[in-house]
Amino acid sequence: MTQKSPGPGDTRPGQWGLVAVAWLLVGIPLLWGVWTTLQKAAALFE
Amino acid sequence: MAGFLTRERIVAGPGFNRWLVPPAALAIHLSIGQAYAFSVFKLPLTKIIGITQPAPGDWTQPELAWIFTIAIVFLGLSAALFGRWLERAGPRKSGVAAALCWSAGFLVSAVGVRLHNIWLLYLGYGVLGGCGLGLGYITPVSTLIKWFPDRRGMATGMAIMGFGGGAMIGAPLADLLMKHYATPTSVGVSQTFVTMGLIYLVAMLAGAFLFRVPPPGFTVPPPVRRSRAITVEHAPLRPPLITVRHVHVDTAWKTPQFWLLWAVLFLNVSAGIGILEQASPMIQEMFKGRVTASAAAGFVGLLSLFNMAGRFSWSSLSDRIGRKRTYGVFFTLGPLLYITVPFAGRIGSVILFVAAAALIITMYGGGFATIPAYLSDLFGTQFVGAIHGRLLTAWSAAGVAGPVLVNYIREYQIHHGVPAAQAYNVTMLLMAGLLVVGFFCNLAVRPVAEGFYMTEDQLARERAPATAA
Repeated sequence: MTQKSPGPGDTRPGQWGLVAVAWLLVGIPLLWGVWTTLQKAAALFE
Repeated sequence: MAGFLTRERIVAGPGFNRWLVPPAALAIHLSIGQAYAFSVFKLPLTKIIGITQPAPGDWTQPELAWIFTIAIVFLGLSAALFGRWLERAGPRKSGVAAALCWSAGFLVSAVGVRLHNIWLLYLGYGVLGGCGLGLGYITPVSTLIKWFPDRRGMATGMAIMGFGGGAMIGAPLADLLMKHYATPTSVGVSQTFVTMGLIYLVAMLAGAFLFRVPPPGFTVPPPVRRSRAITVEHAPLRPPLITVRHVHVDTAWKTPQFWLLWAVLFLNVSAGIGILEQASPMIQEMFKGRVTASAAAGFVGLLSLFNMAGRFSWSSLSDRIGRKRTYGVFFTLGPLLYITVPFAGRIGSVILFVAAAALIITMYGGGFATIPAYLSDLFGTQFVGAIHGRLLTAWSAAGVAGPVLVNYIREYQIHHGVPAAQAYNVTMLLMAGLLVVGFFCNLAVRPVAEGFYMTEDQLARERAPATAA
């Protein structure tokens, strides 16, 4: 039988904000990289 | 300070949001993924003395090629050697170690460029950077698997996708920085190394400090519709290949499953390298006059996008269809696609050629991203980082053997009068053959035999430090 853990995995209000900030910090450079690669890749279809 | 980094100090408290771990993992993998973009430095490094063109005394391409080779070898070695330490020390300590090694690699290389001493580049980017790569690769993967027992494939796919995406950031960033720092007396590589080393240090340390480990007895909160918490024991539709027990890292390599998966990774990577290594010349030679050099560069860029996308999508799909079936798809569809590549060349279809190559590359990336989840299914999560580290020697072996095999076969054929455009046919057939062998290796994977699992006592001893805290 599994007992529901009271702590880990649960989220308290505000932590989703931190999650969003953390994802933005890694997502923006990644999107920039994808964008520059797409621009380069466009040459294949010209 | 040392205590601040220990595993015991980073056990997650109540309310910790496990969705903070993937961006932390991505921060590390996006940084070390720069390794795939090392080639942007190659040309400028051949002009350190001559500035506008290589001068006598400047480094040659073959001399510089060793830097990346050494880095990949040390990636495998450090992952294999320090994986056990990672499980004990915890992800924050090993993440900080990875950040220091990776960053120091850039800084030592910058000194090497200043002094024009190639040995400092071998030591810097090659040895130190390679250790940063190895530690940085396995640390997030091990942590994510423990936080996402219900979605292991998706979680590791997110991190390993970052390794594919790192080159997309690293290459244009290096280009921008070298242009910024270039002067009439310098190509700007040394300053670029320093800047990138510091940027990656900050990003990786941020990732390492965000890491937490789940407390003993961690359960995943149930989705709204489910009534009970999910542990790996109760993950929905747990297939027989997913164990709830744990195999010790020192025992894992004695199992046939370890070596079958080693072969699976080795064969999948070797076959993928067959396309990656020859992508640009292959499309230009097969479609002479129709595909220019810049279009070929675009093709290479497109492949890197599919490589990244495949890492996330295939590993996520493996959560639904199982790891064995996912590799089954790679090893069934893969050979057909490898045969399609020369066929597309024969009928002159660029679209078919690009589509086949792109799909092959998704499976190359997918193979990397799905293997940690496959390992944790078979060997449990306790030592998955260390076992994954040892398995990565397959990558190092494929990284050396793959290009040698591909280039040797091509040169052999051209030497015997085969036209350049047709010299790829045999290579592609050979790659298809490697995947067929991989199919049978994957097919032979069965659950680990009972005798290899750790007893409850052994497991308790291993977990003792974390529990005591």
